[in-house]
Amino acid sequence: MAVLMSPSRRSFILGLSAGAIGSPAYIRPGWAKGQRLVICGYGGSEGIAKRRAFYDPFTKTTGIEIITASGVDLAKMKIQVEQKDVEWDIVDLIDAWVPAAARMGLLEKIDDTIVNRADCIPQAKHEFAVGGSVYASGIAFPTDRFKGKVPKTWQEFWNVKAIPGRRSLRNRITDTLEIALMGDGVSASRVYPCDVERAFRALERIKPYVSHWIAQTEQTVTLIQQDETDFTHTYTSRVKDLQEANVPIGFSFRQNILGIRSSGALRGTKNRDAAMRFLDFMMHRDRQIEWANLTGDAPTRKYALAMIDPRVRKWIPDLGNTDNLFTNAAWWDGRVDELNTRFKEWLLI
Amino acid sequence: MRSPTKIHLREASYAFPAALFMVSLFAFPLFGILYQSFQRNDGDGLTLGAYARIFTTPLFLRVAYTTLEISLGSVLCSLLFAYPVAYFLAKQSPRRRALYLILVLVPFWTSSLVKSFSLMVLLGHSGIINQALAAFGISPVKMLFNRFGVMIGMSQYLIPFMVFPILTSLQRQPPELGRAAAIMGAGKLRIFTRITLPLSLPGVVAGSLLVFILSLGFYIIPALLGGRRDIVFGNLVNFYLREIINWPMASAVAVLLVLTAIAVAMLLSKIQDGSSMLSKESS
Repeated sequence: MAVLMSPSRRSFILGLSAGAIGSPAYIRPGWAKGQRLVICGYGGSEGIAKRRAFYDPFTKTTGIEIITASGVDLAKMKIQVEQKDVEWDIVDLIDAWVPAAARMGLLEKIDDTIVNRADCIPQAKHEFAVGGSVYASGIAFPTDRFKGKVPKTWQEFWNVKAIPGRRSLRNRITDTLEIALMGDGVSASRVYPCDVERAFRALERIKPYVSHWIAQTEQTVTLIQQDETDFTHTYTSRVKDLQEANVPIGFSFRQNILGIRSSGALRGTKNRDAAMRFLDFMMHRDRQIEWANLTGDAPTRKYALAMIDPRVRKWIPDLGNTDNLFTNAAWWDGRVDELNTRFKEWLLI
Repeated sequence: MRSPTKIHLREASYAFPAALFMVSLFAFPLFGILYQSFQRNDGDGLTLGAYARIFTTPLFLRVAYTTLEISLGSVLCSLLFAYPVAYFLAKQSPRRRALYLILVLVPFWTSSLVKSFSLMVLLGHSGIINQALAAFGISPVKMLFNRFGVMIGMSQYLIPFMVFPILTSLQRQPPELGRAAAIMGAGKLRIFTRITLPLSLPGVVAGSLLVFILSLGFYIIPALLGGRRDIVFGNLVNFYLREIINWPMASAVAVLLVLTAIAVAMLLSKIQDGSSMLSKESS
């Protein structure tokens, strides 16, 4: 019996060690072939769209493999840069995260000899990040309740008497501050520089009618679906996905808040040149148009709007509409922490 | 014959691997956090700035109050549910008891996230309970995203921790005591209030201590099931760690949390000593 057992045990161990030795090559297929980039994004359906619009075409053109990670986190970025053990070559960042990451010294300076950003809107040209697209957020509401008596502007959102219903806002101060000002009657063009005290007074008025201060973006649409709340602040991409799945949810295109999706390279990345090439690739007009068709975001390269699929046109935010508010990341830089802390304290009372 | 010290050393050496594990993976990082709480956020050098900020912001004090409130509430709620369960289990035959214990442990084996989502289905605005109430014409009751939801969620998780110490304590009581009292003419209620309950106090205190310490560190359940007022220490640490990126502040909050837990543990263990002396006297 022992004679029969030991060869099988031996071969098992041999097989295991062969697997262990060979596994690095299996786990990291790009290792033997050449360069690869690790890109950290927000995952979900956005990640799938990124694969189609950017990652796969980039690999086809240059041969550089792209591996994705999710869970963008300033704290994790800080650890990687400080320990000089950078795992993410490129990170996706939105709005105020860009000046914050730049100030903390977490990003590589954009190499303008490789990355071409001529004829892009100014928000795309940050020193440490490229702004690839413009996304929009606004008021979402259910279409199977309320029979159309829903708020379409922020002032209507604040008018709880005329339009009753449970409201929900985000549990962070960015965007919420501007929304409060617009709810109080300030027009989009006069929101910045923000009158913080006025905004907090407006928030105080709406507080009793807010059922949720939402932490997870996912919930901004699922809570409406589950009948836990009625009117929320959410993104066009979320509503678009649900409408395509025939969920009864609607979106108002008035007084949208526009933000910019950026990407940057982490400081100390070992694949700096490849990263810069990718950032340049993201800004190519045909790539931006494909991204716009998939997600409804607006391209940042001028003159690209005309080439977008007409079926997606209704989702594309109108950058020229003065009713819409473009997030001013520069105003927020240096103020986020103090205002966010004040906001969290205010929420507790 | 080896000397007593040599025997102790040899027995103690069996614990070395575990001790090494705990020191390197638990004690060292803990000291690292303590050290970090004294750092400056914007450079090198030591400072008490983080602690100064903590004690002067209303945020910390409110969160501390809420955490203590929720933890005490969890102790009371789990006690309310766990004591009858433990009492019932103590009276069962060992085989039946083992079966019932599995039922008690089932929520313990389920993931927190799954339990929280299932509670949403049960307690939500259009959840099962509210639908049943609607059948009687009662308007929906808000049982989720408020303190009630948090209490339910926390108790569900903590009841097993309360059941076991109480059960042990009840099982240790000799059945002759109850019989002797019955022979003397005591009714069931009297037996319970004068004998069973006082003798089970050490178990109650042990369970309460355990549940309190555990609930001090809870973060996910209040975050998922609570409202805007249900912010606990864990949320605060997360806030400073990942939203504000002020690690000295986050570390300082964590240190204060550990100190609070230690203080409560010492307090309750004094009560425990007191109560076990009491139970020794009364028996």
